[in-house]
Formats: sequence, C-alpha cells, structure tokens
Amino acid sequence: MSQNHKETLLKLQEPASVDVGSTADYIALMKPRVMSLVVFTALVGLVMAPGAMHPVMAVAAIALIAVGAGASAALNMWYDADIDALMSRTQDRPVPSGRVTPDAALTFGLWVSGLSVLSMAVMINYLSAALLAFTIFFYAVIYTMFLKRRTAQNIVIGGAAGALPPVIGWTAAANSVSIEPLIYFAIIFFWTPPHFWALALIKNDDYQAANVPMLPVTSGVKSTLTQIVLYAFLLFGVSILPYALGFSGPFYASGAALLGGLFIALCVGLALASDKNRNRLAGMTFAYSIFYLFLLFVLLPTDKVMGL
Amino acid sequence: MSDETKQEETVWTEELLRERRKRATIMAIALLAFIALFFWVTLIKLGANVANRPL
Repeated sequence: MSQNHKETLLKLQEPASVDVGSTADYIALMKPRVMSLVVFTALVGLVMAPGAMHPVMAVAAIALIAVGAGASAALNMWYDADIDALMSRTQDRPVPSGRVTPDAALTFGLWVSGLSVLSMAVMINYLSAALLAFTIFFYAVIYTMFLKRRTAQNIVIGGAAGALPPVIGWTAAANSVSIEPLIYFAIIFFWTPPHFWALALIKNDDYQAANVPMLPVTSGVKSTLTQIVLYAFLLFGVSILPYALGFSGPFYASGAALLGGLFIALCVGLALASDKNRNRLAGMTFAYSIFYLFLLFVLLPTDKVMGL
Repeated sequence: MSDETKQEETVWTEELLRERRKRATIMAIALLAFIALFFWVTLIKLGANVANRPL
C-alpha cells in the first residue's frame, strides 16, 4: 500500500468536519475540464439550431448549462467520495482529501442544480429547463448512484447524460427538438464508451481496488479491446449521419471520415498492441478521442457557415 | 461529537480566514453577475412592451 493511499484512508476515517474548502476546491468540485466540453458541445447545438437568438440570451443559456453540469459533478463527487479516495486519479479531489465536507458538497450541488434549472425555465424556456433537470438527475442519480457500481454498462448508459448538452443548446434556441440534435446526441453517446474504456484500461488497477465494475475489470482486457473497436466503427457510421441525412455538406463528411478513420486505426492498433505497449496506446487513444470530438463539433458549424 | 464541538475545535488560522474571505467575495461577485444577467434577460424578453405598457 502506497504512502498516499495510507494517508487517504486515515483521512477518510476522520472525515473533514468543518468546511475549509477554497474557491479553487469548489471550482474543482464542478469538474471544469468536463464542463469545458459540455460548454463547447452545447454552444455548437445552439449555433446549429434554426432561428436567431439574442447574444445575451445565448450567453445565459450556455452559462446555465455549464453551471447545471457543474452541479451534477458536485453531486457525483459527494456520492463517490468513498471510491474516489481509493483511486490515484481521484484521491486528491476536494471531498476525499478532506478540504470540502461531504455535507457542503451535497448542499452546494443541490442548490446550484435547483438554481440552474429554475433560471433556465425563467430565462430561456421550459423544454431546456426540463432537459437540464433530466441531465442532472440522470448523471447524479441514475449513473452515479445506480449504474456506476452495479454494471459494466455503466458508462454506456450513463453516457446519455454527457450527450445531452448539444440537445439543450439546440432547444434553448429553437424551443423544440428535431433529428439534428438527436444525431449530435448519438455521436457523443457512441463516442463515450471507447473514450472511457481507453482510460479504464490504463487505470484498471484503480478500478479494481475501488471495486468499480468497469468493463476491463469485469470482462477482461481482450473483451474491452473488442468493444472499443466495435464502438469506433459504430461511431464512424453515426458521425457520417449529418451528411447522409442531408443537413451537413461534403466538407463535414470528408472531415468526419478522416477523423473517424484515424480513430478506428488507433483503436485497432490498441487492440493489436503487445502488453508492453498497450498502456501507451490506450493513453494515445484517450487523448485523440477528446481531440476527435472537439474537431467533429468544430466541423459542424464550419460546414454550415461554408454552405450558406 | 456534535458539529458545534467540531467547529469549535477547528483552528481558524490566518490563512484559512483569508481563504474564507476570498471565497465569500467571489461568491458575492458571482451573485451580482447572476442578478445583472437576470435583469438584462428580463429587459430583452420584455422588449418594446416596457414602453408600450398601459399606464
């Protein structure tokens, strides 16, 4: 047992009693890196929606989606503090490290969730508020409390929460749902499993120690690699749908095909890698998956502007 | 042990107090920004109706 691990367990036996969390701790509680992807995909959903939206209303909508996502992250960190303390990647988070008390994290998460949903209803529209409330509920309750510790399909089903922001961005502008935002949802939904399983391969020991049934823990490395490749192909097909259904042009299609082809090549390379090289390739696949999603969502509005 | 007792046992060093003040200040700024945004959005939604309301 490492020194860090021992110290964390000692801290857990005597959890923080008084909230001494700094501003940075509360920002960390909202998972700012995840939030940045949420903001970006929601913004693309908003930009792609038909009709014009007042810039101030657009800023308000994106800010509220970001804050709602941050609040659900805080609720996730409150509930998961026990397993976060057992994993090297998460043991320095504000709650397991003792800088923010569990009660303070829960209170913060609940208040900010309520505030973001109510504000969305008053400032933007009821449909977006309902979708935001559902996203927070799905991530904090369905994924965190029910799926994460019970099934290897945790991040497959739970991925729906991360896939909803572009839909909320769209509804904020259009006040309705159509096929386009559902395709954006599907892209992120099918992107999530290979993205997370690449990380799970690297952090397999952590997940095993914390008894989290990630796919590499329950089904082994070989089965996970097969699933990663399958999802990469599925993602490729889904990413071409905006072109196939006629709402994106050839610029998007060629970019998506190139990016998706590279992703498939990386995933196949990872599946064929020797034990020695596997972690390095899994790290590359994980890093590329973030770059891939970012560029794919840059291509969508760029193609729209070019097609005007 | 009650929360009050724990609270009393916490040694509020100068650094912790400074951090708490900083946190409160940032929270106040965030609240003010939120109020300003709410006000602005309300004006946009009301639009010309502000001028056209029955007196």
